[in-house]
This record gives sequence, structure tokens and C-alpha cells, in this order.
Amino acid sequence: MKPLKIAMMSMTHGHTRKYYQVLKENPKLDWVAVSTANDDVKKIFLDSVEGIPCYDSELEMLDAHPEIEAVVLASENSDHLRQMKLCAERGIHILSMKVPTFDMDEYDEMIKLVDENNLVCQIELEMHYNPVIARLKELVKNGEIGKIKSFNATNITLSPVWAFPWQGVPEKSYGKRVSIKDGDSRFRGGALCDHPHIFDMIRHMTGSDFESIYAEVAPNIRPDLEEEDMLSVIGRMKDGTIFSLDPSWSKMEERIPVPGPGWEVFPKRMEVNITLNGEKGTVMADCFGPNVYHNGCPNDRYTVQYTYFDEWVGLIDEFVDNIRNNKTPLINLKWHKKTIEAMNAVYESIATGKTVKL
Amino acid sequence: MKKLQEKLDFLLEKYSVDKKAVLKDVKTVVIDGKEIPILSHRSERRFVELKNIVNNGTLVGVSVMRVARIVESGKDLYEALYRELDLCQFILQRKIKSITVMENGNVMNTIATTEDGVVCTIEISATLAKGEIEKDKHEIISQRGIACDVVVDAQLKQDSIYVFGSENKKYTDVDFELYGLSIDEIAIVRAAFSVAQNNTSDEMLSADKTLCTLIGMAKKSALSGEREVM
Repeated sequence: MKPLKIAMMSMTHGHTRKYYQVLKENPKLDWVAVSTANDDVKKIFLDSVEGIPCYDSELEMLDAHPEIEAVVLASENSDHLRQMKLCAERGIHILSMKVPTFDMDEYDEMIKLVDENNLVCQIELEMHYNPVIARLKELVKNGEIGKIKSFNATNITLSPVWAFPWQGVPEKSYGKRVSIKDGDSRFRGGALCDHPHIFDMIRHMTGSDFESIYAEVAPNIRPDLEEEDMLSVIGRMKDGTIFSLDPSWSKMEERIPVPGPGWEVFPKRMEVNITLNGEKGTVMADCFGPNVYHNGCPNDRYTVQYTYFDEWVGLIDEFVDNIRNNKTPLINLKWHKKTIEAMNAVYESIATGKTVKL
Repeated sequence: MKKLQEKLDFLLEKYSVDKKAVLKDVKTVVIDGKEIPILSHRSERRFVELKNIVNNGTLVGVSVMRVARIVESGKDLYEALYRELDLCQFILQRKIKSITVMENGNVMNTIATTEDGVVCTIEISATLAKGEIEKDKHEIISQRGIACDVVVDAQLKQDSIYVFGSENKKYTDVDFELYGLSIDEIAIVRAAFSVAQNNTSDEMLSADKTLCTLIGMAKKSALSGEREVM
């Protein structure tokens, strides 16, 4: 199979560095170039990766490399539609970050762009390429616990805003500045916007869609953020399954500009745990374990060191296969739309204090 | 119950508590002819320590309390909720003012908020086989620190002793004075003793009344799917 000629744009997204290794090592790819959104991310990229042409503008990169077949949009949410247009005009396939947009008119425009230009647009929800999730799906499919009655999950992390400042800016993360609720000084765009995975995974596990959602925002554990960092969500799927989802930034971090050793204040920087309760029992899963532990440099703090983090290998394999064999991605724009609608319903519930019906 | 009463009598005598305290069942002690709910979970040492951590300045700026509990299949979900709502109020030393419940047969999820906006989530399921030890987790998240009764990066609590022999066994002993009792049994004896020793009958009765009101709100919310406010 001819290697896919791929590029990256912006390099401002928190997942940018996840692609470095896979884009260099996957034999199905030919990493052609990157364009960077600012000098800070350009320096980080040039310090991390050698031998890949780096451009200061997307147009400059696209003009210099008409051979580019696909682009990873490693950018803030507010840039996604504009960059998708750039790609669509050139017939370039798209790997979008996990939130294409929260604006549903923009979302429909994205779907139209992709359909009219016959493009592959895959959404980066890497949990589907996690081995624990693969086992969970198998257990559910085999009826290990019978019909699922409740799906309870955490997708909790430290806050990335100090390293990826756009995530702390409502206009760039949520797309506009919207008050979280009356009498509250915070705005939409925080932890919820960082954590769509569990809203997506419940749809896959149950084969059902959201029926109702109720959410509460808690006091921030980072009072100086202007977005929410702690929230809790419960609700019901159309098949009756109830859920409890925690998409918070509940793990405290050092405010360092580049992620690396010493980022953690709480020993564990990230957790995706899923508990499935069924008619015949319960399955509890930690999607990122077992791990190893140390209290060494730089801060002498007890720290969880993850032992695997290779979701991007399977994700990229699927992306290449979709393009080369004209397949529809597992997570495509149309599928993902209902996940984004559910996340918008979380914000609506917080604002109104009511359960939102979808 | 006879074993627990013997241990209770032992404590009453040892500490010279001049009261007639009789365990009616695992939830109730009769003192001077009056039935008092003992809320025995409050006497589990892990919850006493979590309460201390939250309220003695170790944690600063509490935001959320997260609770998950799995009990035996067939057990009453609202009984489990009663316990966890009390633990939220006890550990946080705050009153719950609103509650929203989603229920689906043997499972229930709840979001409650306190008067000052702390959010409590309570996930309960009744799925365990008979005899299986209940699983639970209580975590409090604040601006300065997290407190939890499960170790970081683990899904279940540890036991004190593991025996790997012809038959695998495990033990968790947490009270030297009441050695030989299970954690739940110890809590029952300690709670009944505390009511007798500290004259907390009125406090227990008041807490029970509030909890019954909250359970009523929870049942109403489970039917409507909407938040109920105290």
C-alpha cells in the first residue's frame, strides 16, 4: 500500500505530541510537513522532532506540498471549521480533534463540506483503540453481566490550560463566551469540552442514545479559571440505561508551560474508569492500568507512571484504512454529532437547573 | 446479635457507662426504653478520619464528594442511599439541600448539592452475589487536596492480611478492643456505645428525620426525573 502523505496543522492541541512517534514510525505514513500557529508551539515542535519541514502558515504549507493527502487538525476548537474548509477545497482528508465544534450550525456545515467533497473525516476519539475498552466491549457483547443497567464513568484529568492556553479561553474552547449559569462568573468551555470520550463510549456500549441529562457544576478547585473545572452528570439513555459521568479536571497540576515530568500535584494525572452494572453483575475497568510508581525527580512526589499509552497506533491505522479503502470512520462527523449534542445538553442543564430531554 | 450485645456490654462496663443499652437490630439501640437509630456507618474509622481531614484544615475549599457503592443483589437501593447521604452530610459537615435521582431497577445514580454548593454524586448498584463483600469508595475533592478511602490508582480497597495456602483467605482487623468482629459489626457496637456514652440520642433522631425527608425527595425525583429542593 502506498504510504499516506500526511501533515499536521496548528500544533496547539494537547494531543499534538501523541502523534510524533506514530507519524514517524508507522510505515503506512509519509509525514510531509507541519504548520504551526505560533512561535511557542513551533519551538516545542522543533525541539521534539527533527527532519519534518515546519511552516508558519497553513497556506504556505499546503501550497508547498500539493502532495498532502491528509491532515491532522491539531488545533483549538475555534479553528476547526476554517481549517476543514482549507482541506476540503483541496480534497484533503481530515483527522479532527475530539471536539469539531459545539456550534451545531458550524457542525452541519462541516458535514456538508465532507459529504460534498467525498472526504474521510475521522474524529480523534482514541479510547476506541485502548485494549481495556476492547475487552469491555467483548464482555458486554458476550453478555457477561446481562443487559447494561447503568454506565458510570470518570474521564478526569489535570487541567491542561497552563500548557495549552486556548483551553482556558471560552471563545477558543467552546466557540463563544456563554455564562455557565445566572449569577456565576464562570463561562462554558472548561473541563467538559476536554472530555467527550465517556459521552461517546456509553453510546457504543449500550447501542442507545441519550434520552435525558441532568448536570451540576461544582465550585472550581482552580478559582482563577474563568471556565468550569468540576462538574457531575447523570441521566438516562433511550434504552433505559442510567449513567453517571464525571468529566472534571479534578487532578491538580503544576502550572508548567510544557507537559513533562513533574506535571502532577496529585499523583495520578489522568483516569478513565468505567463501571458497568448489569442484570447479572458488575464489571469495573481501569482503562489505564496497571502502572508503576516513583517519587523521584523533579519534585520527589509519589507519582503514577503510566505503562502504556498507545491508542494513537490503532487510531492512525484505522484512518489510513478508511482513506485507502474508502471506508466510513467508526467515529465520523454524523455519528459524533449526537455526542456533542449531549455535551451541549449538559451545559443547558447546568444553566437551567432542569433535566434536559434530548 | 448476641455476640454484638456482649461486646457492647463489655464496653459499657469497662468505661463505666451507667445506662441500659440494648441492640434491637443492626440499626437500632434501645436506651432507657427509647429506640434510637445508631447510624453505625459514622463509627467506621475511615469515615471518622475522612471527616477529620475535611474539617480540620487538611483539605481547603471542598468542591465535590464522589461516592460509589455496590451491594448484594436484591438489597434496597434507598437503604443504601440513606447511608450514603448521611455519610456525605457527616463527612462534609454540611446539609444537603437538593437531590436528583435516576433509577433503573437494581441501580441508582444521584446528584445532591449542599447548602453552600458542594456537589455530591452517589452511584449505587445492587448486583453482587450473595455473600460477596460490598464494594465502595468515598472521595472528597478540594482546591487543596483530595481525600479518599481507596488508594490512588486502585479500584478496590486493600485488606490487611492475605493468606495463600491450600485455601486463600484475607483478613481486615481494625479494632483491638473488639478483635474478632467484622468492620460492620465493630461499627454497630461502637455506634451504640457512642449513643449511650455521649448522650447523642436527640442528635441521632434528628439526623434520621432529615434523612427520611431526603429519601422521600429522592423517591419523588426518581419518578419525575427532576431535581427536588429541600
